[in-house]
Amino acid sequence: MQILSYLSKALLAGTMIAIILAVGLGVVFRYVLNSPLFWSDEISRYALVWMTFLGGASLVGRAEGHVKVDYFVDIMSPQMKRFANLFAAFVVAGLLCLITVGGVLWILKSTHASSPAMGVPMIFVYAVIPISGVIGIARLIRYLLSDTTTAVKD
Amino acid sequence: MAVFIFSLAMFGTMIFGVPIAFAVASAALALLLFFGPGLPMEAILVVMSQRMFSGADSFPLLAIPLFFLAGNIMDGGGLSARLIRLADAMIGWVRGGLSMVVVMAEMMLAAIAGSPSAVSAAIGSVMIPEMKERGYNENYAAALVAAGGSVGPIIPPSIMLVAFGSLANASIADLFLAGIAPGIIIGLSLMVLCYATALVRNYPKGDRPSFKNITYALGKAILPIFAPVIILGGIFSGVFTATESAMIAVVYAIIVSMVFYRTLSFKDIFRICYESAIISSQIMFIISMAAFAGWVLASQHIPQDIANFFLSISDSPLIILLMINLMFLAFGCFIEGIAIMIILLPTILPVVEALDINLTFFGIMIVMNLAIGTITPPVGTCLIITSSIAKTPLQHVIREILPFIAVIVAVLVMIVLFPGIVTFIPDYFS
Repeated sequence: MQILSYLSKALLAGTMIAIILAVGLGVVFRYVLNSPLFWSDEISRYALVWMTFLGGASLVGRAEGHVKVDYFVDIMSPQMKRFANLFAAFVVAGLLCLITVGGVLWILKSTHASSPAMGVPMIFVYAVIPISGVIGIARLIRYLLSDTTTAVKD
Repeated sequence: MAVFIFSLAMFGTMIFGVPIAFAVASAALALLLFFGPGLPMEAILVVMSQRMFSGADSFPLLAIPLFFLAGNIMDGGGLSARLIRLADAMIGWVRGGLSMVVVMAEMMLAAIAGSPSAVSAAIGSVMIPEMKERGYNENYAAALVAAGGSVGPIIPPSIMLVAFGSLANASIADLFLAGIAPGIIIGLSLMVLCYATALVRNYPKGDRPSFKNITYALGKAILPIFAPVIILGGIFSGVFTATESAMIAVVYAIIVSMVFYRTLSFKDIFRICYESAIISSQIMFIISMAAFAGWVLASQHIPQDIANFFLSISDSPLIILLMINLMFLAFGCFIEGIAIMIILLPTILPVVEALDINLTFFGIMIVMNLAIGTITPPVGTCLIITSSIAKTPLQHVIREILPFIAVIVAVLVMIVLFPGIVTFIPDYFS
């Protein structure tokens, strides 16, 4: 678990560094060297997609996680609060499962597609969807096992 | 009927604490399942993945993580402390000066960082304890910092304006230019309110600084103060896109904090990269889920229905704008700003087009609504941050925030009546 958490941190920081390098080199080559790079736009956009999904997964089940409306849950009775927490976890888990399945189906459909500029097989780019889905479900299970009333501190 | 089901599913799940991104997606999924054209489950799931993917797959949106990163690196380099010292030298000696320092420092920080909650957190963590110590009411302090931070999205560079520009196909450079005048007007009005409150409550004034003190504070802050010139200069001259100038802001922030101030090591930069990635994905994940929802709504022809509904009520632009304002303010009380734009903008833009309203003005108006949304209960992100810094219950801060909200709403009404306030700067440059 410790290793996985470190790995996902490194991956997320990695997507940010990839964006900096790709956009930065893009600027340098376009404006300084006057020969635009054909791949910088594509890499940076795909890195943003990876950041979005991996980040979305690692925000599941943590105290300062996804943006939500706390106001109504805070004024509920303890039993109601417990129900609300379980209900929210159930909706999130359901959607994460559907996203994972949808991602796998999409990958199976696009085995021949490759990216327009770099010619990378798109399945490597799309892979982030099911990967994030599984990470999110794993985090949610850990959160539910630890305690349903307090969120996991990362 | 379809609109009703969508709203019911979205708000129903949200009330039970389902994260906004997931509430939006589950409402869209429910709409597609029960009212859709009867697509097989497999197709629905693939479309969901595709739409979420393409929602995040955008070059203009790259400005979001980059502006977060630039702001965080600058802040790690002790930026907010320097800006506060400069604002204090300039205005701290007036009665209630400390409260005006807050607004001024937040406006300067907003011209470097792109998000209201980051601005509130950075200034609040320094200024709220300081204000409490000097006899200010803690609830007032929390409300003030939140209100000043909420100006952030209007002052360029702004993540919300980037999102509006990429959603509405409007020029981000024009939006940034248009935000300057209303941003300054709101900042000045808030400072007037601070002064009036300080007179009534007899809040203290600081010592009058010597000329030497002012130049010293200016010298300490000159490098960060120069950052907006670099960020905005590139965009306004039309040479760089918003994303590219956000990139230049990152490089500038790294140089300032690692070469000139030497407050950050490579290890810190790595940590800040991770933290900025997490904060960005908080917004980006909502954007990508809402992109799916937007597609579902469009496939059900809901935007056209809503547009026709608006136009059937009135064909006066002023009345329509009033209704749009009320709608965005109401949504802003509950949902995060960028998510609202993704869900509602496709339904509103046909109306705006039909009435021939200036898109740059419209963008500033919408973002002002959403900025107010960051300080209105129950879900005001800025309010929640500052009340937790001040260690005071949110309910107590709400009473103190009302005058600030009134001031910002008054400015909003003013720009709706006189759109020239917003458009004269971009018109001058074009």
